[in-house]
Amino acid sequence: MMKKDPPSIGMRQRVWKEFSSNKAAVISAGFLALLGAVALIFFIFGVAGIGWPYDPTEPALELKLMPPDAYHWLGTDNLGRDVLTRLLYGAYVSLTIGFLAVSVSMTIGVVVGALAGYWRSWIDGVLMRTVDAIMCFPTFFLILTVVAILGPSIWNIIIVIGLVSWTGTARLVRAEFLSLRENQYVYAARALGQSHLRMMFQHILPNAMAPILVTAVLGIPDAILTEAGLSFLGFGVKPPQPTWGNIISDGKIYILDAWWLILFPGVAILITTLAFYLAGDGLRESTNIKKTGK
Amino acid sequence: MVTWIKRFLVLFPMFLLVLSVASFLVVKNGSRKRVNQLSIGSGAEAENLNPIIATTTTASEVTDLVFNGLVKYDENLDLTGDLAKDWSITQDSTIFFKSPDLASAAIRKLDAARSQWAAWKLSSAEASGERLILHLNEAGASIPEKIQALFEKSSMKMVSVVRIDTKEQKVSFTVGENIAEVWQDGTLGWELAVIGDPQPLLEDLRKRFPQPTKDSFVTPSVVQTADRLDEPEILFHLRPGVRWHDGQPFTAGDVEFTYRMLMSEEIASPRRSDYELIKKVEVIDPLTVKVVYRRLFSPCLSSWGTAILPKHLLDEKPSAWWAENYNRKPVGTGPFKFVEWKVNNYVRLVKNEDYFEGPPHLDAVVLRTIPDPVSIRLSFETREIDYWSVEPFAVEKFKHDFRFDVYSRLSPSYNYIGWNLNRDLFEDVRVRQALAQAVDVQKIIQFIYYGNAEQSRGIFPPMMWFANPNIRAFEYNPKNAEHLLDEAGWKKGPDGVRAKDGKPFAFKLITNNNNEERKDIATLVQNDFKKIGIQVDVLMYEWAVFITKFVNKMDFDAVVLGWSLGYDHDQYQIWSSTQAKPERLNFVSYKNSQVDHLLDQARSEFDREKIKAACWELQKLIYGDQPYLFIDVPDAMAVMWKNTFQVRRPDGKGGWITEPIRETKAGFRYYMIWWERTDLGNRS
Amino acid sequence: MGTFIIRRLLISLVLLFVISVISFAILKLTPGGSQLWFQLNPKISQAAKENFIRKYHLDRPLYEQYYFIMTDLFGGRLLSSKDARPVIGKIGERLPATLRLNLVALLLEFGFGIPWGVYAARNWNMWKDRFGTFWAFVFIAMPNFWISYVICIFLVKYVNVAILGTSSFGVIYANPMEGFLDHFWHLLIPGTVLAIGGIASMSRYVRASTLETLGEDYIRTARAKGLDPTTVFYKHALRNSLRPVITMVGYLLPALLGASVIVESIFAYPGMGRLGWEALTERDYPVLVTLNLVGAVLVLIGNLIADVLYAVVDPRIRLE
Repeated sequence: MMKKDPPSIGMRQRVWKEFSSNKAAVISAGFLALLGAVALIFFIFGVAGIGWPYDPTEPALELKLMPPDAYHWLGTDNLGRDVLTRLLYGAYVSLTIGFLAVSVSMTIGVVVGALAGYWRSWIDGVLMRTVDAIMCFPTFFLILTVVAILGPSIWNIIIVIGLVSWTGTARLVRAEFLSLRENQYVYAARALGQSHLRMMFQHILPNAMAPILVTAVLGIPDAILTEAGLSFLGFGVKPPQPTWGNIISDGKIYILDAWWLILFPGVAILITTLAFYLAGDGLRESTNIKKTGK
Repeated sequence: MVTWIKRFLVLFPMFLLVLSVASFLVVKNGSRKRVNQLSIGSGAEAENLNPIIATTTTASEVTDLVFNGLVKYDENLDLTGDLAKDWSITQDSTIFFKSPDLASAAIRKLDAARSQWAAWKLSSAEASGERLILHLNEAGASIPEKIQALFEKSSMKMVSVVRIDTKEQKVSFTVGENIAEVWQDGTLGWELAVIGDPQPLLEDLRKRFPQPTKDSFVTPSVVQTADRLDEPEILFHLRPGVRWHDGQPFTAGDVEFTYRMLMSEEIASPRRSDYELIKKVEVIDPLTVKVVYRRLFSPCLSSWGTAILPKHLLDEKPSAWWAENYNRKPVGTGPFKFVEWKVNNYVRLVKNEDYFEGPPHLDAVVLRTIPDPVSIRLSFETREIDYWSVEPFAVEKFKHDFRFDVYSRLSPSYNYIGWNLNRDLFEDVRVRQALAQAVDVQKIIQFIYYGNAEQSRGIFPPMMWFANPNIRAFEYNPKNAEHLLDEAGWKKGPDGVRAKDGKPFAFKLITNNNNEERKDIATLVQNDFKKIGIQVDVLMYEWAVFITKFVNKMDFDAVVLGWSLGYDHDQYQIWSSTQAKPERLNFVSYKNSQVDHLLDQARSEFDREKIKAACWELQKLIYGDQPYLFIDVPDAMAVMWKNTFQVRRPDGKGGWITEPIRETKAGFRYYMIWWERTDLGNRS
Repeated sequence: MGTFIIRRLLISLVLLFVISVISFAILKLTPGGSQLWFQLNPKISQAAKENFIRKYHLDRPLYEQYYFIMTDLFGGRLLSSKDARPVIGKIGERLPATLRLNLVALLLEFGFGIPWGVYAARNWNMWKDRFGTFWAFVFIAMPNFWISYVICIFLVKYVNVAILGTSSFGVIYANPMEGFLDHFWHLLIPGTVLAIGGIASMSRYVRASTLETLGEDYIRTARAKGLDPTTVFYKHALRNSLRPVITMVGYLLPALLGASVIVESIFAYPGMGRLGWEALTERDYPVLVTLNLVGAVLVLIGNLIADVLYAVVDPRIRLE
């Protein structure tokens, strides 16, 4: 059996060195790791029913629309629920949607792109025309329509976002495959009688991993923003489940009197998506050294 | 080349910046003055401006100013003349005798008792074959009863209404010896008034419409039996000298034309059902018009509050013409003339100098569409709109701010949770009463409506004259609720959830999205029910899905919804057991024969006291049965800046009354045509 | 090139057919039907409902409905099921406002995005570039409904200026120039919100493209020859790196008609997005199908123009 082709260890070290010298990217990555841990902890709290000073779903009307104070650091919402608690319990929803939607779109995009780029000929033609067709749809409307059909739930939103956002990845993967399949080691492997499947996914794909990874990381914040937009229009996850998007959408009519209802969740979304973008950009710069003009 | 690109890269953004700053300065400090107009903010846009087709309140805000009806509600919600100067309601009652001789005998008997006629409200009587026709001065089922009591019951034939539910548009019957009337009714079917024994006809009909099929769902049957045929009629005397906005005179022909349009298949007016019981509309002379009804229908007069359309502009126009023309450029007789409609932006009206009550003080009224609830409030705060229907929580802020006037009154509407009575869970009335006591309505009113609502006590909002004031609302009493549930067999299990025969008390409560109050109500109710061991899952759907997939198909456990009602008392379509079918309004399947009877009675009496008696009983029965959990009657509220408008209206004696804008039963906008801007001197 | 264009056009036609079928199918799958205006209205008779259903062929099989919609659309007779008005007219009356708003947004994107990108590339890897990068991502990361509200509230509550709709309401200006600037102001604010992400993306795009050009051999050669770095940058590098930007003219076409439901609703701006949103909530299939198709046509034409322009400005690329 053949050994895997590059990226070599030396390459990885160079990438890491490059990435770690980018402070913004490192801080972002650190923040995201922390956020992931918090989201996981509160997800477990939620499932196991472990106590926390405030309940994220139980209304406490006497406390409605309280501005931030020592007890409710980020204030309370229109039903008297603690905003910080809801943000923490809702974190996993945004992150789950981001990660899983991207997983769906990456899977489809990679498979389609790999098939098209590897086989070319009519398969390429058909697949790429499909990609063109999907790119012609107004994405956000497509998502709205499909959510209206399937009904709003975390899973439906994930699937829909995944289903409409894979086209970019497919094009990228196809381009990578088109150039990589001409490499010597591919011919060599082919001559040794490797199966096509193995060729595609064991030899070519690993070499295309870097740009795919970058696309994935940059796709997560897009998915998070899309979910927030959906929630804003009233197509979000059903109550009383808190998500960052529906904390804003529940709070939006009160914002002239209760600024904390939109400021804090908005900032949470902003910081998270920003962190993903900065980390993703750091990753791109460090894996794409030749294009940065060095 | 180098400098050119470089310069452009600097100068172009600079240019944009300068333009931005200049435009900002203009908007902030430009030399401008306030226009003598009223701007109304609205979240939704009218779908069209044709008063007989449009259904949204936004459309009616415009059409109310552009059009007049024959009658209108005054500030105390009593009917008064608008385009009609006055009117009289009379009635023809036909009694069918078993032979012409008996009919002639009856008329001789009546002639002999002429002195009694005034007391009987009888103006004249005539016999025609077997029929005795009484012309009465007043309408109502009970009016001819005293007269009919003079005759032997055995000498008369009964009249039965036979109903055929079918989608067939053409059904042929011969009106003659045994069929007095045939009419098509809006709820998809035909009704026949059959004289005497209906059985032979019924058998014949059942042969023609054998089984429930795709086109006919119910076999023909007798739905009503009466001693005679009562046909009320209204005679309207129209106001002389009224002109349309294009200068043509308004006449009785326009009224007749409007009726034809309301009934037209092609126009498909949503208001058609109010006019289906009309037998004919007759133009007597240019200023007199007579409307004859087939059956007693006491809301008939208020239905003539509908806008009257100009015949001279619309007659003979194909239906496709309407959509692009009249539906978007209405011409009426009202105080304001339509000028332009900028789609998704605004509708502009200017004053009608020729208005029959005198020209309004405002030069223009503009209805602005601002879909976002936050933006609409912001535009009020920059004085771009003068008022809008404010949400309860925001009104709280304005109430405590001395710069604003807040107007609020109970609205003719209520919110409720409807239980699907076809579901086993809600079959037992004890369970429904328990649920009513398990929800803390006062808390909902206090925290969701900020006190701007009242607990609902049944199907009629409390400011209506026919609403029953003696009903005691269910109070929040979870202990009693638990007791009732125990009694009904729903015992608490070890997990705290009630169950009966192994089935847990759990259901889905659904409502539409984008309605904050309903969402909050659902969340609170969910929490209240959890406390007494009932598991509720709240789901929200987009309006379209919510209605067509669940409500219309009667496929739901419980819904949070609200009814916006008119000012008349007829609620046949919501509560009659005949309406407990898919796509009808009795989607909770409420069936109570007593209620059916009372609904009929309320329709067939014209006397206020008799209507009131029927309605009080109706409200009591339905409230006791709790097919809905009646929640609240919300306030209709609006905010205006202080010192921007006042009312200066004619006092009816040639002088003027000047007063501040005040709330009336019909709303604070009741005198809108006499509003006058008082802040024109101020720079905006 | 001629055969290229013809082939692309043919493929586009097939694509359009597929797109129209798919969009029609998706819409038809949505529960809710298009009879919304008469739902739950006690006064509407069953006969009127039946009439409506017949008028819009809603009782016919799906393929027939599709056929009716398409033949009506291309015959210019397609009527909205909401108000029975021609769909073309409904789109047409929103077109000028949409064009104006998106034009302003595009001007902002190009006017600020390109200089920003160039500036960042000139100062590559210095703190100015990093600072710029950071803010570019902040701009992209901002949810646009959020920034809309922030701007709205700030301008109205604290600066007290009007921003909603197409012009200030209830006032008239003495000077027509002031009227124009007032209108421009009402385009500028929603335009800024729409453009804010675009400005940042554009700057990233220009920056990347410029950096790539700077890495090319001929630039190094030019520098090595001792040419003035500024001249090299503006004359040689920038010209080539802005080439891909010129091809973006092709993508302008769909962008000009672009729509944002959220921004248009918040700023009460009468644009295409609200038409689509209303059509979606009211299940106005004729309007939705037309909007989808118009959008798709513009994207396809835009792509074609972009490809052709690319070949025109870059002699190395040949269309086949």
